[in-house]
Amino acid sequence: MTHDLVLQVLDKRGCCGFKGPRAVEWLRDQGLLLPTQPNSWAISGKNLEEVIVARLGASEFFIEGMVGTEILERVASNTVKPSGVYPVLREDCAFVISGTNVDEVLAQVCSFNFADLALAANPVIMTLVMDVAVLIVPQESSVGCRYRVWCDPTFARYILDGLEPIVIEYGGVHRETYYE
Amino acid sequence: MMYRLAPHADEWIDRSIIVNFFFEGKECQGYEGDTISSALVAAGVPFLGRSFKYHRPRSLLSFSNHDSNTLFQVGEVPNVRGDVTPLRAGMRVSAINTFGGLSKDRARVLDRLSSFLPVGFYYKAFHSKRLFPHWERMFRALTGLGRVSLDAPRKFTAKRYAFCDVLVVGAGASGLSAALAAAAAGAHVALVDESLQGGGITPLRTPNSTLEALLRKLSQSDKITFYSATVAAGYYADHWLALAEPLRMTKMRAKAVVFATGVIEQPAVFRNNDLPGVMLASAALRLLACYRIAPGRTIVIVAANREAYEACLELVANSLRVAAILELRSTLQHSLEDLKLARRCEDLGVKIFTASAPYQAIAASNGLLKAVDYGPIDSSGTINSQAAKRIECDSLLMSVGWAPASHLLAQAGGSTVFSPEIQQFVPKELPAGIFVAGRLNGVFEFNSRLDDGHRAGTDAAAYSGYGETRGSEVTRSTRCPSHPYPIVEHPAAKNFVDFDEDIQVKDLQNAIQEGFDSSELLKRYTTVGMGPSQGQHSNMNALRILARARSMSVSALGLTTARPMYHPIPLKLLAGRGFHPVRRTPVDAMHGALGAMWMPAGNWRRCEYYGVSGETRDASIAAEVWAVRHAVGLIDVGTLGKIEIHGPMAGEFLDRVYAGNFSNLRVGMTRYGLMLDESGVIIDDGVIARLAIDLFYFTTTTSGSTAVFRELLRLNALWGLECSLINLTGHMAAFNFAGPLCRAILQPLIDIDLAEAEFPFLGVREARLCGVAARLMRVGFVGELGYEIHVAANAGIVVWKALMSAGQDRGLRPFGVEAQRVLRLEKGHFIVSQDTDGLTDPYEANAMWAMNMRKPFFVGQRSLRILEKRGPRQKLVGIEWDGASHSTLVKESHLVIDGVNIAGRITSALYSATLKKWIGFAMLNPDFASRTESLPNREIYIRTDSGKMQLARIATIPFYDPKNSRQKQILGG
Repeated sequence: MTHDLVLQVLDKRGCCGFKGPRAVEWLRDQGLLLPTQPNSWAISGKNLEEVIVARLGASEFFIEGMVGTEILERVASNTVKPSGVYPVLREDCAFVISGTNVDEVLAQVCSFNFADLALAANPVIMTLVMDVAVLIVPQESSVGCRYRVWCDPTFARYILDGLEPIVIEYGGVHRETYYE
Repeated sequence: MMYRLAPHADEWIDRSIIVNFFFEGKECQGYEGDTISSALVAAGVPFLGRSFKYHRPRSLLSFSNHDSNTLFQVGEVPNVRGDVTPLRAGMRVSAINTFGGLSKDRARVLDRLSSFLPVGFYYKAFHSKRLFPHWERMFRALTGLGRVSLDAPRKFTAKRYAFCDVLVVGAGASGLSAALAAAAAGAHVALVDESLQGGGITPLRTPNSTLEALLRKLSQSDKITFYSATVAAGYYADHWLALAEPLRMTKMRAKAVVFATGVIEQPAVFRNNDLPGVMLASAALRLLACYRIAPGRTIVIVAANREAYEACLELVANSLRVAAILELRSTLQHSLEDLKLARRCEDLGVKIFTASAPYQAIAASNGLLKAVDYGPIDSSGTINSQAAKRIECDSLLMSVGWAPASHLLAQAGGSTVFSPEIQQFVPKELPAGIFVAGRLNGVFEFNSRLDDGHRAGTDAAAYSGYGETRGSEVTRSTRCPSHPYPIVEHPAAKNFVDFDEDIQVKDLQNAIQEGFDSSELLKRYTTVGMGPSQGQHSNMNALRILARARSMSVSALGLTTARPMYHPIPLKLLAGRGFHPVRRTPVDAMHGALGAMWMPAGNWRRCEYYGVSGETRDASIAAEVWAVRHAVGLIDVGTLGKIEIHGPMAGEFLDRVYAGNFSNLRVGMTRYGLMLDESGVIIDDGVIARLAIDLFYFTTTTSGSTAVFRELLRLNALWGLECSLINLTGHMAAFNFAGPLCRAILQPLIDIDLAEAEFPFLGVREARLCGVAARLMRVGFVGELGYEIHVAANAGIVVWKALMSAGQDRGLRPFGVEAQRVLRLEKGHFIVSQDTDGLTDPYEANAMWAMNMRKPFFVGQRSLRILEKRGPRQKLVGIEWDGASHSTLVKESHLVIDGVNIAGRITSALYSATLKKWIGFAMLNPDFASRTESLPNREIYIRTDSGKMQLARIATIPFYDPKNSRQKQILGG
């Protein structure tokens, strides 16, 4: 039996954050393509070196990529940061929810109107899922919209345990972790 | 007696599918598409329920989702609304509120005792203290509807959010028209109706072709989502409505809302107007049109509007016999249309008696309606009972008026005004984005309702950004569809105004006489409108009675407030899936394997203590305390708030938010900080560490972390200082590794020198511990040599395991929150929000040492100066008393007694195995505290649960190691 509604934890992904008045300049110097608008995202790098850069505010960024990605490792481990660039430790739990009825699942746990999104603008949504603050990046996929979600790791078990029965109710599955 | 008619193409039932079910234990049959109520009455069931107070037999009244007569117990589910609940095979249906079943209900004797149960009976009964328990028992036994099964499995119904451009409430003619008009303008529309299908409450044959066309368009529209069998039960701010669907709750956010909620037919009030066989005309028409059920074989209609004649013609067209129409009005001459309709009825053999009212309905020996006595009424509405005549009938239909379903409109902030011309409250002012259409708007004729709906739908779409507004005026009805006083008095009463609560005309009149003479007071005293129908059938008539009794106009009195949810909905929809966030620390998995006994702390789950086989709780806690005092202990403190602040003005920011001084803190050192609110109340505390000249790392309390970070962000935005806050609470693991042996165990695992000279008390160091980056703070919450260790969350388990492993041969024991509480209490550290409350300031908590009043500013400083002059209202003191560890008589919140007065309360009380005595904190009246402290024995008395007084002493704190030599590692201390 195939299920196209899937909840999956993303494994082997690393993330970090930066904020501060000189963060934009410094991240650009590191070779990252930055979204121009707050609350939007962009891809930097190609293929396996791809990282997602989400702009959370005028001078606040969240970066996620596969563990070992050169650029991610470089910015995260670079200990020489100029004043005005503040590294943000991010140990988020990342998961993806996608497939048919995904909007119905999200409608039960989140008061955000995902149907109104203009995906072409690469929006980043900071909202609450099951009363927990999350970061969501919607992406188009072959099965409709696909949502990458990051949350505080101390809430991960609570959110995944809460989402699972709803996903199953809509004919979906909660798969083991995977990496992409 | 009602019965099923021959099939018709438009009926809602499928006669090819027979549905078997049980009512009161007997097998019955209905058809697919029937509701419970329609199947029961079609099956010839004479009574469907018993009334709430007098247990009178009842059957259908309104057949419209508001009827308290047709609430049923279905299996384990109580109070199922039979009028709208689809029949299902195998359903086990029974009446509610009976003792011994519907037909043999033992409580029916109450009907004969009704004169002993006057209005306000409950309140009056409870007046006597002596009889209170008697009445309480009796009321508990007699009242309450339905039966809750505690064994029923919990079903998690969904709560979901939804969005639309235009929400239309009501799918009658005007609502359908509004929805289609809004959709045509391009808006996404949600259309909601409590019925199983759209079309409105009176699907008359005549305009059906138009309605059918509208319904066809509705089904074809991809812009409209139709929520059938759904009650819009409440309106909340910003066009947010609660939609109660059969199995879920939808919270609908709309850009604009059209209320086409229509009107609710109102009963005439006369003696025995509740007999089975007496019902609203709209109910009869719905039974006929949708379920092909005849209301009776000989029908009489009580009329006061045009709809009565339309109903008559509809019934006769279906070959039913209408014997007579009792017209309350004295003449129909003022309306040519009414006159025409009346003539058509007369031409069909229906007798019309103008200026006549039903005096009383007459029951046959089987309890069903058999006749109606009617008589002439004068212009004041007084009936001449001497001239009463009788008409035999088994169905008496009431078509005397309507009340607007304006509850949602009122909740949305719309105001109404009473229109004497149409005897109805109509909208006066509407808030932005709210539109009204149809009969709720006072527009009654079919084509006018369609037009009004189109207007409202077009305007609502325009408001939400689609198309242009029509902007035309509302054209209200020119005829009066409601009688101003359809109420007939009777010396023997039983003329019911409220069918839910068995409230008669005299009950309301008596209450008014007793002084409950406003609509809100009358409601509360008589409970009119407080039953399952929430006054849908009673509020308007009650208001008319009140207005007449006070010689006032209805408009001067006004309606009662209908708060959300204005319509009762199943609790399961409100309960739904519960979302109560629970946080787990990065090393949560470690605790379970060690036998953790969990407890909630804020929204975290924490280990209270580690259970050991063969050990009691107290013994485990005592052993954990012993390990920290004599060897080493490890506790997970990952729940602490953990915040970084970067930037050149970080020190300045901390100076402002904390009461101490931090801009002068040396790099590599920590300092305790106390946070106050503007009024000088202690709201949080923590340890602030300076890692670099422009970088601080600090902790907050577990329960305060979220609120504190939010407040700091607010203050940072407000002050605009050059600094930036980062919340690391969930992203870092933290442990307290404490005890005399901790340094020796830790040293081999870390790449820095832990010697006292290199890493002194209150120092902070960044190092690599077990190969991972770590921050260590030499703090002494538990009063021993100790290191608070902070690492990235994903390194937490590695470090925890390494510490546990390194200490296993040295007596290391993990310890939980309870042991930590004992340890900190021995050291005399108060816990914010346990030993302090929402009013405690630093003077009262003896925490002025943590204040720097010489600073130019910190939050709460100004208030502290005022509080200093005022003096403390309470005083936190240490207390102690002797006793065995198991004699747990004194608990937190027990009162300290001074003679006959309360002198304070206990905030902490625990047994210290280290000190071999009980210790604690008490918040005392300051005069009592200073008076007692001056006495040689310093004794206080604490009243325990049993009333026994426990003798205790005010003590000097800290209780343990007063010179702090252990945590500071002062040799020979």
